[in-house]
Amino acid sequence: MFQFRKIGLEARMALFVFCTILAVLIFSTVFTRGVVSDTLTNEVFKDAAVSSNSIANHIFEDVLSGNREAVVSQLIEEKFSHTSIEYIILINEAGEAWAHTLTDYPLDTIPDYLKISEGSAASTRIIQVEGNDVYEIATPLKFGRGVLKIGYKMGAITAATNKALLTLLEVAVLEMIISIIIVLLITKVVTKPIVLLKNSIAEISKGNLDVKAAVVSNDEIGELASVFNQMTVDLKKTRSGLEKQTKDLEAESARLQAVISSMGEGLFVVDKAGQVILVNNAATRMVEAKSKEIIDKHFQQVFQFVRKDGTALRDEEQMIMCALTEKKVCEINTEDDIYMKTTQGKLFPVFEVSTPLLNDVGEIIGAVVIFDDISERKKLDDSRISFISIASHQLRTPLTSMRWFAEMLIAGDAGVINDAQRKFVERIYQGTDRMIGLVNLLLQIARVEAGRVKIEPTPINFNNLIRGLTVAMRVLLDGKSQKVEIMSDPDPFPAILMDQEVVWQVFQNLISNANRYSPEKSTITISMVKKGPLAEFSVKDSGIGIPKDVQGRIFNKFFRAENALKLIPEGSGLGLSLVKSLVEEWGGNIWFESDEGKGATFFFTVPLTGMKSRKGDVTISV
Amino acid sequence: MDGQKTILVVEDEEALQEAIQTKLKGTGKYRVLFALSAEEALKIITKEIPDLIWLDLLLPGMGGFQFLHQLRSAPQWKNIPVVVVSVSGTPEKIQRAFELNVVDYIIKSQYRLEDILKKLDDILDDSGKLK
Repeated sequence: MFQFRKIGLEARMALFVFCTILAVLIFSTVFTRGVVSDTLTNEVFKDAAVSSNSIANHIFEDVLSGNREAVVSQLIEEKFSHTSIEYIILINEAGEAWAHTLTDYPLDTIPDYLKISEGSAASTRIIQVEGNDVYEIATPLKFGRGVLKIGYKMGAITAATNKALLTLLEVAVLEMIISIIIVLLITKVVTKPIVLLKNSIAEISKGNLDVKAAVVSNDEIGELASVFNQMTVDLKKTRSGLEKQTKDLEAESARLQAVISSMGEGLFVVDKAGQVILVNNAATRMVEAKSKEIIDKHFQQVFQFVRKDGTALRDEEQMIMCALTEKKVCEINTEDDIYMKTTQGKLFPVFEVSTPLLNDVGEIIGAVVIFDDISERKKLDDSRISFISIASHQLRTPLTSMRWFAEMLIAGDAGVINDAQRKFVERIYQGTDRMIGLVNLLLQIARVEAGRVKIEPTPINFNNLIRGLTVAMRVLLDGKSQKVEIMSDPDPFPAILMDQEVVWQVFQNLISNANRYSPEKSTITISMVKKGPLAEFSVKDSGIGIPKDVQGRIFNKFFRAENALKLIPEGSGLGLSLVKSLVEEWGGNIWFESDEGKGATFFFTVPLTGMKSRKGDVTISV
Repeated sequence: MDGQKTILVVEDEEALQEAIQTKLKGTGKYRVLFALSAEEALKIITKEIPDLIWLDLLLPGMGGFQFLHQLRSAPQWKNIPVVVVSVSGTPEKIQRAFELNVVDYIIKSQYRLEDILKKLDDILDDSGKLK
């Protein structure tokens, strides 16, 4: 089928112009033909009228003299000299035929249809004579001496008109041919820059961005070529930028690939449905399967997370399902005691972190899972914990005995001692006492840092907990006549699921510090404020405060500020370190505000969601 | 001596034993029996039922808890008052000890010997009143 769009621009333009010219010519020819035809006919008729008048004048002398023969011969001569004349008839004043050129009729006889009644009026008419149209002009003679009727052959008039029209048509065709040639030439000139531009575009589309379109004119097309050239330059820049980016991306991808495959931990990626789409070498090695046996399988078919006895975890216990459904990082830690079962049925303890993969609009599209065999770490942790336990027991037993013997010496159980001896033994007693406290704190910190402390959350009523603490610490507080005030917002404060022992340790350490470093008869204020998803607690004292220059080190193990050392030389510098470890363990923050000499306020937060329970194997108590 | 109460001290640390013995005997109120292990303690109580047992938990061989179990499952021993005096006091251990009907749980390092003796005096006075 013919498709106009497939024709070239040049041909299209030529065709368009040609059609326009043709249409104009046809229209003008048809229009002029009618006008010209009418004009020519009128001209002929006018000529005929003039001729008729001239003949009438010419024969008038002979009519006047009654020379009928001369008139007849004159008429015949006129007829023959004008090939367009069909007949000439002279009607006298009586209305009778007097002379004519009709050869088939006697002189005074003519057919009725050639007769006219109004003998003196000049008139014209078209009549039929022997099947042909005749244009008849009746011209009255002077002095009413009759009417001269001349019949002109319409055929002759039409022929003359047609000849003139034919000439007109010939001129039109010639004009058209010349127009087409001019159109073709103009089209060529107009389309040349476009064709050049087209060729340049074709080159560029093949990837050759060094081509430049020729700017051959200052018109719109020239402008287009300039813009096009600028565009090519920009395109070249963009392309080289893209090529660089692609190279960078490829390099990045290769680096990433190298990192993933050289990772010591197992890594695999699952899609939203849990099917494995990527796995690294470490993962295949640990699970004892080949990559092709893992890819496209559901992760549970290959990566089986089980309990120590080999029973599979339920779906809701699977960290991958947690990441895929809850849109958060979910992990299994050492203390969760979870194992991986290899395809060969072997078990090894694992840690696992599942991180959801999100698309641009934050929808889950899969998860990245990192896991590792923690057999060695578990052994190490076990031996560390048992070392801590044994060491602390072994240290505390002789320390206790030292303390007791010192106590007995002071009490005089081994006989009376003098004042100097008493002073020395008291030093031994105090030193031993501090050493016991130190061992206990070190043991607590070691347990917290090993992440092995058992967490058993129960709803904590903080008002009761703090009151209990102040009762337990009554001796210390009463010793300095200090008051403890509790501020609660809201009141009563909501219960939070926490491990009582852990929270107790934190408050005890902070209140104990407040008690030690604050003057007698001062007030210790404990505040609890609900702030969004957190509970913020604070312990405020009016003690010696913390000098600005050491504030950054206050939570460091064994660190004690100068002013604190001066006031109470025997502190361990471990209490705040333990408190910080405990608070951070439950996902809270700890900080303080203080000016030297103006007291200190320690703040810490607790998520209202509380603590997660943990099956640790030791407690914080010693 | 008449009116003297008998205390069985089960403690494997000889140094501690010596301190306890000196302190307890010094008061003149108690007769003190010593066992270095739970096994030895069982032999002693088979012959003589003390008024109170001072029990360390971390013992060589049979542990303190196992000893307590045996004590509580024997009708003749189940009412002997026991005070645990241990170097460690995790809530778990304390709870377990009280479930086995101990009278008190003392963490050694936190108390002066003098204070422990006061506690023992109180316990023995109370049990005397009960009798």
